[in-house]
Amino acid sequence: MSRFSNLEFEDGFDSFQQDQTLLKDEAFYLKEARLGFENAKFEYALRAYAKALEFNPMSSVAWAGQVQMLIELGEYKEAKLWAEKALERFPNNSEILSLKAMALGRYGDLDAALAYADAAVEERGESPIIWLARADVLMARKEKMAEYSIERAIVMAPEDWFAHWMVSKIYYFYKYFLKAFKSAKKAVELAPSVPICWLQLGVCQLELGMISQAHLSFQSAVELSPSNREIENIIHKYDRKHSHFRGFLRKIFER
Amino acid sequence: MAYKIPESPYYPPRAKLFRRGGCFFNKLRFVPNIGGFFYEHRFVLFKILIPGLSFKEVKPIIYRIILILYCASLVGFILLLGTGWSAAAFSIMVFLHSISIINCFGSLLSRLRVKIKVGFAILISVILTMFCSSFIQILDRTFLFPVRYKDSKNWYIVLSITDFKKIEPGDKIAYYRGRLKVANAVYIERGRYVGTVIAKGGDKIEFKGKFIKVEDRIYATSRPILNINEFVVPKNDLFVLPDEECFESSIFKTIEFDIKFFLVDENDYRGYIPKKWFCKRQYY
Repeated sequence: MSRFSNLEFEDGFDSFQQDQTLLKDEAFYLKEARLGFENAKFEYALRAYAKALEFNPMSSVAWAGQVQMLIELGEYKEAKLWAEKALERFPNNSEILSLKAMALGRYGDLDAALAYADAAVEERGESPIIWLARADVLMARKEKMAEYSIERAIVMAPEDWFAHWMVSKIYYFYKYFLKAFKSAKKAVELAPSVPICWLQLGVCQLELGMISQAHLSFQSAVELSPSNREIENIIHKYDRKHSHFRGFLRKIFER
Repeated sequence: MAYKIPESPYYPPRAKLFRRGGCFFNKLRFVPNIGGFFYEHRFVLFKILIPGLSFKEVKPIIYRIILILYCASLVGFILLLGTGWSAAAFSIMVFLHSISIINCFGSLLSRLRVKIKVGFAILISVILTMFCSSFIQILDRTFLFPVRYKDSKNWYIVLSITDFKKIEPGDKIAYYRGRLKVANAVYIERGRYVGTVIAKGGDKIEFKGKFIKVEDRIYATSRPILNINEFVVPKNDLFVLPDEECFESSIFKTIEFDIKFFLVDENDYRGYIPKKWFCKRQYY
């Protein structure tokens, strides 16, 4: 019996790439993972990255993606473990170094996190994630230099929705909701067709008490990715925090 | 047909958390992400047993606070055993255990309503309380723990661990009695009793009215208890004078006791009662 035969990640969920003639290779799974991430299907994306790694174990993108998905799933210990595995193959990969720093920072090992974040910066990579991870660690340490790191990250990719979304996530994690909202708004402007940006915007609006705007943002996310269990779950999670929001959720999901 | 990405050896082994029960919980929509709960199943037992441990990874400060409070309550529980404060300390211990267990299963409960969570907390507290009382009873039978015995007036802390052979005259002990005929048509109910040891096996006892003489020691009772003059305590037995209230009971005021009523062997022995339990004096 297959090891994963009982896995039930996606009830009734078809792959993002519907074309049956597509060759299911590394590129296919990397694209699936990316689309899964954009649709907040982190578990699915993680599985896709793992499959991509099976085709090419030397794919640093897949390794980094896997670690990032684990961080998104809140599994920092596992993220740290897999970042270490990735670093065995790519000891100087700045992106993986920075993701490990982020996992360590979220896990509470702030000194080690800063050391990895510094090492990632020294490698001089071109991805904004390097500065974003450093900002994340500095924010965890409550240091003022965090803002500077975020600015550096934005300067590196001013038109990349992912950088803005990530900035919003970091601000949100450390409860700077207004700044998180601004970044999420920018991410939505840059990529209005990406559900995860709308989701992040809705979550920030909810925290700021902008209930009706949050309704619209969540509605947009649901419209862009209908019958998406993960988006539904995230919205339900905030439903618990803001009980007056329940009526709206019922409207969305019970129609 | 729904598409599933095939298995990959590079998938983090947390996937196994979905194998047993994961699907069930997913279908119940308990949690979108079960987290590391099943993955770290080896530690779940420790998280349940050690109060606060389930908070260690998330909020270490809460773990420390719970552990300190728990230790303080435990010390209070032992020191003040037999008093109301001890019961309060025990309640705090149960409460701390409950919140720790609820946190351990927190990810599974995250989708439940507050009322259900509160109900769950109460259920755990009740189960824990029942478990703890049965635990103390088990320890009582195996003579490992100070246990409270109740006679008609006082609560005593009994050190069940103390050896029967080390009991000396003058000590107070707790002992068990089955239903026993003490005189014509008079029985004592089975239960736990407390009494003072006045003679060991082989000692010669002399009865003179209200007084009992054992070697050079003399004990007084409220009335003559035996209609004999002398008695030698059998080897491996103790001669125990039950606490006064036993004699004050109206039915026992007039009867003549059987000698068996005063003899306690090793099987009936339940433990030694120390004169002082920390700040509490148990008897003089």
